[in-house]
Amino acid sequence: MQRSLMVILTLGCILPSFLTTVACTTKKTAGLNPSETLSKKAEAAAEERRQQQLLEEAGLAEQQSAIAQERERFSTDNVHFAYDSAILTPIGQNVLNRKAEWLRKNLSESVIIGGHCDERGTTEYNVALGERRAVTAKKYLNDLGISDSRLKTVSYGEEMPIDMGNNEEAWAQNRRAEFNIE
Amino acid sequence: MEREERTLLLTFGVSLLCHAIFFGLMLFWPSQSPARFKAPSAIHVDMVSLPAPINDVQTAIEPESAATDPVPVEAAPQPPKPDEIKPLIPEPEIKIPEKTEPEVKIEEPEKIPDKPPKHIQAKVKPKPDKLPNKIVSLTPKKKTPKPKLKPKTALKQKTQKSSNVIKQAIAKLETSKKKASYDPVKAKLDGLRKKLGKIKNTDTPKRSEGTYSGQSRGKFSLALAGKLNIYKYGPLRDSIVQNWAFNPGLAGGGTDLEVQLLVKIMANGKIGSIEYVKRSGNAMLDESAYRAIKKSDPLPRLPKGLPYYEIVMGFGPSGLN
Amino acid sequence: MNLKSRFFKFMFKTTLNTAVSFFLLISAAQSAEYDYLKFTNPFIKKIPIAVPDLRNMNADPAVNELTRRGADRLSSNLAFTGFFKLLDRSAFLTDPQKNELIPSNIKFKNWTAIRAEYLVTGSIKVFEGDMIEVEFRLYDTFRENLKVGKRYKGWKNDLDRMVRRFSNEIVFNLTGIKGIFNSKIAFISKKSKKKDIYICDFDGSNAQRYTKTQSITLSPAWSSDGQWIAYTSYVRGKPDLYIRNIIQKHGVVIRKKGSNITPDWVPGRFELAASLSFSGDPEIYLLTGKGKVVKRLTNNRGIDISPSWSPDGKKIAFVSKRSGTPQLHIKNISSGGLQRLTFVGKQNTQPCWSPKGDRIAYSGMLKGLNQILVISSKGGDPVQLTFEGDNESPSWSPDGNLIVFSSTREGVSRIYVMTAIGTDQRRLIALPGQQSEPSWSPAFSNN
Repeated sequence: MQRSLMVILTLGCILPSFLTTVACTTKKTAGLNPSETLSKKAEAAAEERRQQQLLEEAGLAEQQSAIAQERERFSTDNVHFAYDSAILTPIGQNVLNRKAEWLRKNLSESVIIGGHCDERGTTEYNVALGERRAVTAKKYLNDLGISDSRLKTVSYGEEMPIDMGNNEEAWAQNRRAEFNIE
Repeated sequence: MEREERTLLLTFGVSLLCHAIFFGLMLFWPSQSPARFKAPSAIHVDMVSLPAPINDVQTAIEPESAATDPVPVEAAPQPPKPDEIKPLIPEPEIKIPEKTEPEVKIEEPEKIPDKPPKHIQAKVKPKPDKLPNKIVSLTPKKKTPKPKLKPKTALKQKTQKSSNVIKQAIAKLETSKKKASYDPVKAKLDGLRKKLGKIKNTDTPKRSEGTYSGQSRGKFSLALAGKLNIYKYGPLRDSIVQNWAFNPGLAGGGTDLEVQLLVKIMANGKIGSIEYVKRSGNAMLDESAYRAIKKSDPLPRLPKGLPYYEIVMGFGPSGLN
Repeated sequence: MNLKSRFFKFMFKTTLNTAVSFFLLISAAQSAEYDYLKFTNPFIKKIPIAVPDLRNMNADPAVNELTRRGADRLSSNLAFTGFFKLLDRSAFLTDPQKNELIPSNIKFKNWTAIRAEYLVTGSIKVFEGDMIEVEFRLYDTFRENLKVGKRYKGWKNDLDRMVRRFSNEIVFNLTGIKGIFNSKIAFISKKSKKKDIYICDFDGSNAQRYTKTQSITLSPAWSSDGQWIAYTSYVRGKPDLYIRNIIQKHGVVIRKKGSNITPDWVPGRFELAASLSFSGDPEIYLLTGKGKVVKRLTNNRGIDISPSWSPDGKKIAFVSKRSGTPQLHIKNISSGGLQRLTFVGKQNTQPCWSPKGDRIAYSGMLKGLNQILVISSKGGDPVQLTFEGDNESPSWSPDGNLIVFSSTREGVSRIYVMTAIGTDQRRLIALPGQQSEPSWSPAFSNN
């Protein structure tokens, strides 16, 4: 009784396996382990997913770097001035127009405008002149609709030159209003 | 009518005589040349006396004690106080022309620091003095007003005016020269003439120094006046200038300061007297002028024929200009 | 009759004229008339003075070092003024250690022979180990008298201080003006982008750092009692004004919106003027020493900075750009009257009113470089005092005879000094880094 049960069970196992074997042979994929086939499939799917993900990441990064670049440009583009002057030049106004654009897009940002001078004037006068430069830039942005509360000014006079040179090019670089995002 | 006319004539005659005498005197008085320098009216020569040796200075030794820096950069530790301080009795031997009562002042003892100051002083690089006159004024300078002085009339002019006077004088000098270089009687006479001969000159255009020369020109020959001029702008000026020690900075850069001294130079160059005619208000300048003259004593001999020579010397640094 | 009366009249007039002429003649004769010779240029620009070594009152040869030091320091102090020429000690005809410098023994001829006009003798006695008694005397060799003498007692290392005291005595005695030998100079020293205030003695010695910020510090200004110092610092990111007690270092900060710069103390008061820009542009305000605004002193759109008080405290000289370029102006505080002072040059800044009140020193830009100039406070033609390099920040010595300033004539910016007429220009300090913005303290009476 016990033996007949064992035989039935064994047959029950073997028969379906034969059946599958026949099916596989017809597809000419005989000799392959069915479980192997399954994992391969999963792999391909994963690969596809990975590819997809990479593409998405690349897209995001591109977008991200464009924003960063804009930000970077905002802080590095200085407004330059003529000697002993705090009056905006047309070029300076263009720079400020771009700044205003950026500030409109980035409403949560506020900025410190630093006024700077070349080394030629005397120390204290340069602090005053640097302040006039920063204030002029700020007022221009105010006029373009940028809220007063988002803009602060501070004058550094001649204390923070970006070009240490002692010539007109260096001086021109140093006569500036600088923008630092808070 | 007659009498009246006679009286009139008499009066006229007398007056004429008086005038003749007066103008004669005027004309023939050898030292009638127009005056040149007139001392400032406020100053009478006789009221200025030779400055006595200065004795208004402190002649006392005042004891003191050293103190702590009241403004230390870092709060300085309070060091112990020095011992008692006793006043120093001025030494009686100190040679002072006129000793004043020594004034002994004791100052309160003070604190003493404990750090000797370090000398961070860098090398001192004195530059050649940039003299005031070398300094570039940004705009044209105004001329410093010259002291108001009597103008001189050109010697030539005067000579022409009274040519016979000069002739006479030359003749006189020639004879006196033959006799002796110095004649006390003549000197006295000269002095008298000089005193009388100074006549106020009315026109006073601004003049720069040294346009006139010689003292009481009418007195001397052209030659002697020339010699005196050479003496004045040569040896005399050189000696004084070389002995004048003063820093224009001490005058505070002021350009209007001037001290004037009347100096009498004897024939042998010895200085007979020095008197302040006008003080500048700057004691250092006044003193420096006096010293310059004193240090130049004796000056070079006067040109022959001059018994003495009186001259006013003005000292005023050109200051910033 | 007509003729006659006219004749009489004529006679009368003539007689009168004659009389008047005589009178004039006599009065003219009374006031002497002399030749005149003017001297304007002293051949000797410095007064020759002899300072022999102090006399060693101890037999101890170890004291010799002090005897020499005393004379050296005294000499360098006097030379510093620019008014004295210190005669070479090797040319002296007298040995200070022999008894010839005892007051009773001085042979003035020995000193006039070497052209000394003044002589300073001194003696030093060491007692109780490290106490000293020092005596100084100033003689007029020419008039052969004692001008001033002092005796000092203290510690050995107090010698320099005693010498400074007597140096003050000498200068006061000879010039009538208080000496500057106890005064100090505050200045800015820059090292690796940080600027701090340092304070040194009048001659540049003893420099010590006063502020210790990792920031930028500018424009030190002394109160007229020398007890307070005001300056601008970026410690909190922007130019704020600090008012501090020199010794205790406590004080206040003025942190108004904008720049709080260029302080200058009112003479004799615990008040100062400074430029604050909280209203939108820099204007000058009068503040109390505690930092409270008393009143506004200028009112003009544009830059108004750098006030400098007249010594009587009635006026300020300041920089204003109201005419288009920065120029010096003077404002009368009570009347409100305003006067433009400088007209030559495109940038005239940093006014500093002289202690005598008659002149104002400032920096003027000439050929692209700043130079120190002096102008009468009543206006007129400025006089240029510096010519080499870039020269800025003039500040008068308390006696008004010297001007300290910064210059790049030897490369980096350093502190220099010169006489008020521009002579004797020399460097005072050379610390690592760069030095600028010197500010001379008042004369401290006791130091």
